[in-house]
Amino acid sequence: MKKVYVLGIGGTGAKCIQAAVHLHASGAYGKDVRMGVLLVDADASNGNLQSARETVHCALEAGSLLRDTNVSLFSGVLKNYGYWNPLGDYSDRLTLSDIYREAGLRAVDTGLGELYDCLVAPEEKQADLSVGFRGRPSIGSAVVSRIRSTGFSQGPWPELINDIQADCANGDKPRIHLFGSIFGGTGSSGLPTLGTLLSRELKGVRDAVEITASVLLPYFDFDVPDDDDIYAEAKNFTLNTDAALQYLARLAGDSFNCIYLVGDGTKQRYERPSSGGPSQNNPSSCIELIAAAAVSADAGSGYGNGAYLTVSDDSLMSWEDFPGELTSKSLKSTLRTCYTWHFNLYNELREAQRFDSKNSFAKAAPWFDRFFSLSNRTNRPDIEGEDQSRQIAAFDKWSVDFLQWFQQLCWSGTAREQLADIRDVSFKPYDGLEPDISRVYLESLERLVIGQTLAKREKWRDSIDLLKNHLADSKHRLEGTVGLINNLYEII
Amino acid sequence: MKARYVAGGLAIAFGVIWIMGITFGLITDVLPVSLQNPAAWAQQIYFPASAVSTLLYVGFLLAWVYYSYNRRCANCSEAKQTISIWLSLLGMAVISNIIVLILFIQFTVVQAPATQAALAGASFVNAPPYEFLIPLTLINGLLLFWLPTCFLSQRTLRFIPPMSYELNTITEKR
Repeated sequence: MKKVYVLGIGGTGAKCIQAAVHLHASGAYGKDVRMGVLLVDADASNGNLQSARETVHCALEAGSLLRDTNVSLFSGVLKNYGYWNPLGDYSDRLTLSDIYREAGLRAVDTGLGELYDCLVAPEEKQADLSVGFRGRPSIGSAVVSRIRSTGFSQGPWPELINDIQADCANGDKPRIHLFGSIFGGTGSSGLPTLGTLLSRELKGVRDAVEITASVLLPYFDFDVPDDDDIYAEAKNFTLNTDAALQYLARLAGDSFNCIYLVGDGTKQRYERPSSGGPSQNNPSSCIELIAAAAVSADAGSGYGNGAYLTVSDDSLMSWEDFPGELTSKSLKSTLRTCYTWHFNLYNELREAQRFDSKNSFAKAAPWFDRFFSLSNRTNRPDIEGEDQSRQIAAFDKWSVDFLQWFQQLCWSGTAREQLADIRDVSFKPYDGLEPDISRVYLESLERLVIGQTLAKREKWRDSIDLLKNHLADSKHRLEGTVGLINNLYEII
Repeated sequence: MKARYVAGGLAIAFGVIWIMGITFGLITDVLPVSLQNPAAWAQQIYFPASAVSTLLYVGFLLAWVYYSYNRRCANCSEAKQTISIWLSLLGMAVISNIIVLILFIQFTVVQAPATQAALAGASFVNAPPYEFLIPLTLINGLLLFWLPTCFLSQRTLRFIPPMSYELNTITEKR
């Protein structure tokens, strides 16, 4: 089994983690992969971090309930190492002056106080760091590097380091992949620092571990936020990037087996800028997906080995632009499965639950009795059973999360038409036990995936009705909701 | 070949035997019909009428099979609504059977040798046996439309004909 540990640092890192978890759940990294996830951010309330945590939670729950090891969907194991806040030990001290105990510093040594004044601007000293490092790598580096004093003994680190060392002891070659932007605050300070510190911490098994990173170059832009405090400024992005790349090349490069630089010639503009907190919840972008796809690429050795760029000159992203053998194929299948579920099967199952006579439902839905029992005569699961309700709810929650994410990808281009023609609706999970009337039934998948044309003999796969008939006519390894979803994914 | 298709073929064969063979025998030998020459009447009126009716039944059956093959239903309730189409086709098949019988009875003159009773000048009522033929068309409809559609309906509509799910569990383990 392949072991991968992904670390998302900062808001962009969290978005890449979201993409990586979706790719992992879709089977894009292969069937036999265990992925550990750790999120790193000083801003615990960051909207993107919360979204990523929600995605990890949904994928964990859906994976544990719906895994069929023979099918790529959810076949990989996911382990959540949770979240680490570099400010964790200083939760009562939320400014740099508090963390470095400025008053005490001056009292002990006046020279140190003056050096501190030289290195840190007055507004940076007093900036509230509970919403992150505000696009200032200098603040981030000062905070993140303090992990060295704890020797990775706090928070989720001991478990993560132990697992990596255990993998090496078992003869595996685990891979640690870091995600972060290089133009903001948390990512550009945390990614090189953590990569270097991890490399040192694992020096005993360093040869058996691959440390790689997806470094995101400036790919978005925004206006000045409304608050008066200091904030990330888009005008600093190029400067930050230049400094961070030089640092990576000269000092941190040796710590990584490979660093993938990912960028976009056309910057996406975020309309509602934020200096951090829950309001920093920028939509996902294809650039993060490309960064996440790098996890499955061969690391090679040495800095600068491998770079992912879009292959087309078109301003719109196409499926061919995504690296990785399985990336596009898995994503297309997952998208079609989730779409079919959301706009058809979910309401069908809820409708079936309402029927007193399941027999009556099966007469107009011949696929139904292949997965669920109509009476006590068969051993198949009862659609009204608690386990089935849990599976339905878990997959629905995950599929809504996937569709929300994918919708953002599709709309992240210059026009709202790339990759897939997704309905202009707000995807929401539904808590009720009755059909969700906001999900208008869909019959055809023909125009969903842009650029995908099926061969004539495969055309039936565009009709949800014919897909259901195929399910009705074939035998299945698994029954119940888990069988239905996995079999649909296989044939779709 | 799927067992259900074999069952469907057998159902059609049985329907044809029923309408053109068994019913023929019932008219000539079993039922108390008021016909001067039941054998000649059956031969010259019922037999061609039943042949045309059989073709019509098969036509309606094929229409349903074609419809069920090509119909795409987004959901269960949409599929359930197609029972009205099935019922309409069944109704049209039975009515067309009755119309064909009436047309043949009305427009065909039976050519048969005179019986002894007729030669003796006895009065004789030569009434077409509608009281038997009309109820028999319902059985024709069941055998030549309902039963085959139970086995030959396609895709999502395969269990729409009444009792088709139950009948199919005989030919196929579900």
